[in-house]
Amino acid sequence: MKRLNWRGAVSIAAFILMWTLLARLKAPGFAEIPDPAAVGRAFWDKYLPSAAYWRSWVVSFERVGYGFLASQLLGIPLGLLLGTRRVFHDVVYPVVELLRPIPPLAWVPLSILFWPTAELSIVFITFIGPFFIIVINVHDAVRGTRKEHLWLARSLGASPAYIFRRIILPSVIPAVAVGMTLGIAVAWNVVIAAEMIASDSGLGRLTWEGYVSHTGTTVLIGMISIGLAGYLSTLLVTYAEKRMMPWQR
Amino acid sequence: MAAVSPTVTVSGVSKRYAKDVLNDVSFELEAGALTVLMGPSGCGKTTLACMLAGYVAPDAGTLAIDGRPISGAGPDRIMVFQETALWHWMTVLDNVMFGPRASGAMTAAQAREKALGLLQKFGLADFRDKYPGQLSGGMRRRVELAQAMINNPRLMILDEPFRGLDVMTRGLMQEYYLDLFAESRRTTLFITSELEEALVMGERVLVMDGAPACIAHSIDIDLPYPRTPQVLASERYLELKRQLMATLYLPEHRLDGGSA
Repeated sequence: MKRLNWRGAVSIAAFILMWTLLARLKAPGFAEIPDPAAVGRAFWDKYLPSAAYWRSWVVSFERVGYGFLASQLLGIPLGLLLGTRRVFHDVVYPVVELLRPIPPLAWVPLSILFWPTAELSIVFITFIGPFFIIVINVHDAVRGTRKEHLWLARSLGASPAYIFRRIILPSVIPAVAVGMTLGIAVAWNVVIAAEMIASDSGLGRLTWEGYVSHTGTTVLIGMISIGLAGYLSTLLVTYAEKRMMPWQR
Repeated sequence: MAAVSPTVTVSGVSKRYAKDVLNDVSFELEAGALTVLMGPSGCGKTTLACMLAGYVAPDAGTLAIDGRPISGAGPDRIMVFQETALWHWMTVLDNVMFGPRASGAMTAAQAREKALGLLQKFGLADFRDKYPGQLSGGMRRRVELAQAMINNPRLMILDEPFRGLDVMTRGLMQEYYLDLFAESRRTTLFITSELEEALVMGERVLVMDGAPACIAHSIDIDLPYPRTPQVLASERYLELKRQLMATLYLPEHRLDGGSA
């Protein structure tokens, strides 16, 4: 059984209490920030029953989902190719290294110019962040495969294709897992900012609209929703990772 | 069963990495003999083992098995590495049945049956569905031996295979390998840095020395098997130990009188 971390519970309660006090007392900087009770009421009355609010969840999740999925589906094979094919590596890797330092959000204007719809451009930007992470992680992992692991397979009579399937692929799984964990966090970072800049929907947009209309409760509900959404996605990814690595159970 | 154990001939082998490691190394492993290779750490014992396995090519010289030059890894020989090379994402059974499956020599059912037989023999039947990470060091070593045996190799190269095991497990594993060796007398090169281990295992001990290194001494260990505690307390044992020690602890190896 898991032990209840009562110290943690106390400090969360203290955090909410502090926030309530500072908001009620209108401490410097808190003039426009509502207290937790107001946020809770607004959520209960306005957002919980609102289809538009839940639609924001779905829209953001879809963008993260498509962008993240595409980044893995393209990034893992690319990383494997870069790691295993010498000529391909020499030709393509420099381009990867050239593009990688460009932060995903710097792609926003180009992406809007390039893609026919705003939706596609946001998914693309969400794709960029996790994509380079997974490519580099997989590439490094292939190159870091223990030589004894490969040698042993060769001595036991395995062909290069068999070695790729049974030795190289499984040995990069931990790196894929790390890439996924980092990637999903980046995907949420990026989608929120992209929605604020270039979209009229999603949790990022909801939060931004709260700011524009000076509605503190909306801003906070947006932030909390984004935090929860990110947390839920991380749970999903962690679950997938555990399934990928049965030997670590 | 295994084909006749081969003779291994190493002649004039040299290798250079950042500096010269091996210089003009020549020796022969007699067919069906258990030869021990010793030498100061870093002298190139592992490099030599990797050459015999076919993973590393020499800069000069030749290595041959029954007169046929070694030019790459082959199923006629197997190397057991210093650090375990078991694939930690495969179960014990999958590790052991890898060989015949990889080469396509057996169907899955045949390979499984043979692997289970070997696991039984090595006392690992109950652990077939475990992952290597769940086993003790001694058990991992036995899995590696089972994995190696399934292909019936003719030449065994063991690179400090029992390093890092506690004294008791180490003793058991030495006995284990000697029993296994007695069954089919596969030509064996056993690398160790432990003097006692060399004397327990070997029929002959080759001592490497120098920088770059070559074979400096060859000492026949004419002690009878099994090497019981009585044998290991005999006058002859102590004499061989003294002899071997004299070749290993030369004055130039002392910190204040280094030769290089």
